[in-house]
Amino acid sequence: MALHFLPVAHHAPHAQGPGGGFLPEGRLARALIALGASVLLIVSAVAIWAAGGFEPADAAPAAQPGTRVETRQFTLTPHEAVFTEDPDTGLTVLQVRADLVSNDTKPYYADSIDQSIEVEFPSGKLEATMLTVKYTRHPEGLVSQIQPDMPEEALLVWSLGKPDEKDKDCDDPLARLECEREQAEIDWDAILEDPPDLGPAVAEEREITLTIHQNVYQPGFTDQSERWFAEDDVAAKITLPVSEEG
Amino acid sequence: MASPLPRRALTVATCLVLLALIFVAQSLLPGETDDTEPIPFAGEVGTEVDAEQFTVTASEPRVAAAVQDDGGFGSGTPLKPHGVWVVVPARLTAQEAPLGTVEAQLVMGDGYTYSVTSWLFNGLGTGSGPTLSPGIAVGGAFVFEVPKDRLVDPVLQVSARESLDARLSARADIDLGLDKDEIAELTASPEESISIPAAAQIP
Repeated sequence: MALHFLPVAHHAPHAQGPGGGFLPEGRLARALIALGASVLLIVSAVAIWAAGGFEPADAAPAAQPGTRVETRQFTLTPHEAVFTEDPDTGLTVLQVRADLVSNDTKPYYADSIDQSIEVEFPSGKLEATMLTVKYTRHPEGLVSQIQPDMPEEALLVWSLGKPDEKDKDCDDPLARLECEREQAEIDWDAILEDPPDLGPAVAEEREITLTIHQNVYQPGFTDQSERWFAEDDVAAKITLPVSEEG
Repeated sequence: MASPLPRRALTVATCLVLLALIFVAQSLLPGETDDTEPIPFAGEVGTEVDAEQFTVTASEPRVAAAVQDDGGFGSGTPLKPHGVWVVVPARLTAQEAPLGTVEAQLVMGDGYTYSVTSWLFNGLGTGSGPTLSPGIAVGGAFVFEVPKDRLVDPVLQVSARESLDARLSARADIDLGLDKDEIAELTASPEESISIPAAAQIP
């Protein structure tokens, strides 16, 4: 009988549920899932931020002494580092011998390169404070301004201090604002104290790392004159062995 | 009255033109630095340049293979240059007010600029030396260290002012009048050594 083979509607198999996929059908349930997913996303983003996951990755491992580092403001090739005594003050200073040439066509103040160079001591017990620049061909004379197109063998001399205890909190992003506000306050008592004895910290140090930042020539924010500023971009990191001279 | 479509097209075109003009006008606005450039007064070697706040007379530039402080607080040891020393003797007189800051730069034809050496105590423009008092001339020398091949069409820019701030200050631009042949001759056979006496008031 031919009729026996007619297809019947309710025998046809269901392809999919009316909503499709694995999502529940109710609007409320769907809204709850969307809400839950958003909360999860936000919480994980905050957690990653708090753990420092959005900080830029270290560009490259620290390079060897003698590596040439080019920035827009200057090209620097650090060769060696020593702790030595400043003949004028008698205090221990960090002296880095490096080839230095300006990439500008106008002179700029020598200490302006300090903001592009971070000095790190692995022990964390020392801090480089102020930079002065001398040239090996006339080490008695301070260099006030770096002149253009004059490659020099330079002595970068940093005075040393103990890192401020307050600095530590600033690595924690949740405490950063409060910490930076505290740092902006001048500690007048500390200025009047005798310089701390850095002998043990200096004896302990075996190497230093110079982090050299890229820089840009632009107007300042409050003082709108144009000058060199350091950027966050790291041009290079160079690790130098360091010893006490003499 | 025109039909709506051409009118609308005209409005759109006018807006676009005005927007373009705004961008052009914005890009023509001078920045703070350009706005407050020192005010230059041009002159030549050997003649008195009147920069309103001060007058300055520069003498013929000299080129040397060594310079040293002559007396004063300097070390007195001869200093070898990275290139050559360019010494420009000059006499400055304040016109109205005492001028405590004297600065100088040597600006080359290609824009390369050199400031006075900080290694000589006696040089003019190093921060030492007497304050310029109105009407009393001060004589001395500006000393620059310049790579030999960078010495091209040098212009001496002298600024004397009351404050450290150079914005809108008076500046004398003195063409040193050295042509290519003269520079080649001076750098090929520089003077052996020049002693720089301390800047002093000229009675």
